[in-house]
Amino acid sequence: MTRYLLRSLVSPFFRENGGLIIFIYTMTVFIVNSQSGAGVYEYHLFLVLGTFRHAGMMSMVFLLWFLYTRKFTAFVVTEIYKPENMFLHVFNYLSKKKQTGLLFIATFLLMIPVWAYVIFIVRTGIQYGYIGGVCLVIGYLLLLCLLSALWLGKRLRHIAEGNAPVLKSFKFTSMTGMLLRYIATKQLVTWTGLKIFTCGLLYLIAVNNSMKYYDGQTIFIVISLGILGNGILVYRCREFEDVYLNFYRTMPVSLSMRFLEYALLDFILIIPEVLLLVLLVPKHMPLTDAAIFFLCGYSSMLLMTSLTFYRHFTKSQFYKILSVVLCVQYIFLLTVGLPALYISLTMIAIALFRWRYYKYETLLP
Amino acid sequence: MLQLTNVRKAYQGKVILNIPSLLLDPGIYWIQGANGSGKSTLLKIIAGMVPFEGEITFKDSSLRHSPLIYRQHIGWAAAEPLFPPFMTGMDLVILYQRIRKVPQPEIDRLIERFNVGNFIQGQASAYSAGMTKRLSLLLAFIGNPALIILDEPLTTLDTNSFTLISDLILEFNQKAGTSFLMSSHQDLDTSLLNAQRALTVINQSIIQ
Repeated sequence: MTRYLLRSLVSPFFRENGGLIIFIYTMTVFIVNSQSGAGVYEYHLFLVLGTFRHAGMMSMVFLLWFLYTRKFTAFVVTEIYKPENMFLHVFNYLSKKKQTGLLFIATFLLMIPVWAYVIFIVRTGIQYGYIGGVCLVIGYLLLLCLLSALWLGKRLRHIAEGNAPVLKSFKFTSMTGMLLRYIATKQLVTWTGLKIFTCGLLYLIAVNNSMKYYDGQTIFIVISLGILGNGILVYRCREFEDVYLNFYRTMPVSLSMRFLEYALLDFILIIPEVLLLVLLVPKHMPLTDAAIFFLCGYSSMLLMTSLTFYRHFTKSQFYKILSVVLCVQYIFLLTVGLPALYISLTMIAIALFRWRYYKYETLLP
Repeated sequence: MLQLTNVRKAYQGKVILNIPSLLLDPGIYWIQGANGSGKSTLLKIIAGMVPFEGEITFKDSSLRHSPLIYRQHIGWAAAEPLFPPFMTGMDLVILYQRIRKVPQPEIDRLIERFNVGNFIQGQASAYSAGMTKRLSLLLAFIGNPALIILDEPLTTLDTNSFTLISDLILEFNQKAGTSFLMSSHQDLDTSLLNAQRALTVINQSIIQ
């Protein structure tokens, strides 16, 4: 039984997200420069000690673990409802206790990337006498595994009813609304993660950036990187649209209105960044810079949307194109300036959409 | 009514359809042809779902040059419809109603005629194949478009629904003057069979 669960629910998660997990681990754990004799070990040591000593930092770590749990739980729920996994209903013949136990093993294994780091946290906690903190960390993670297992058990017992939406009251009947509902129900963790990364980094850089030594270029690069990270959502929205919303192409909706619908979605997706820019003005950033950063970010979103209609790109092809866009943005920053950049990006986005929208071949044959 | 001029469609260099000229008067048309002959592709092209070479006009509105007007005349139901699992049938009906600017009494009448009232408030993820099909057919009829394109409209339907849809096609054709263009592997209902005109897709082209 455990083997079937592992094959059907655990392995697919790591097959799809393994690359991302390794990337995050490499970026956050291994790529740390040595400074004044302090290297990777010292960096993580002080990070862990900081987590034990400051409730705020501990809360942030707990939030990240919660989001990770939410992500793999949502993934597994989607797997459960796939036709090839319908045989999983046999688990409903087991007692609730046995079923929860098996699912707990699955969620425990899905938590492996977290456990790997927790080993270091536990060792450090014991070494420095934070026994209470260690118990709290382990208890919290086990609780997350248990809650996830209970939720998955509930979904398994209602397998015939289909996948229920997370936000039932979220009812917008327009292309923008349908794609927002998709993001709210299936991509919420990705969106939240992107916002935490972009807004967190932008905030930390900006608040440490006094107006006397203001460095707008670094802030722009951070914003650009974060905004282009939204490309994953734009790409997934297009995939979803190709499969579930292709009927919309036959609807009597003008091309301009279609573009505006995507433009509205793009704006909604970057509202947290916009709010943060507003909050940073004028103490940490001049108003003109904030406005230009917003316009550049928003025009990048429009361009990414239009690019997905140029033709069907594979994920890696799309990311390569986004890397090129980032390089182009940097060149504009160093040469002709940012106003020229956002005007160019917006014009290219509109032209590309007008030229390619009806000529775009969807994924379906 | 519907005119195709030099319509050509190729996938990865292989020509699927090559129709120099085709003119269809109002009526009910049944497109036949072997598997892979291009029936569904032709219907998708006319529905404005996939790009193509050439020109298609309906009532003097060109799909290429005045797509908005053209699309107002066209209703479409896919052979194997898929809808967002988190949406209810009613959400989709409201979407169509809003875009096609249809009054509520007409919507209520269609819901009753298609006999979908018992499940339309439920989420699409919980629908059976037959329920999804009936919903997609209902959506194609919303706004009373002049041409309704139905790709395999009778598959996955039970006997009652089969008769119901056949009756509705005949009724809309006779009372509202709606034209239908559909493909089907199944034998049509006898009354529908008598009313239809056959088109056959052979060698990338179409024969009346």
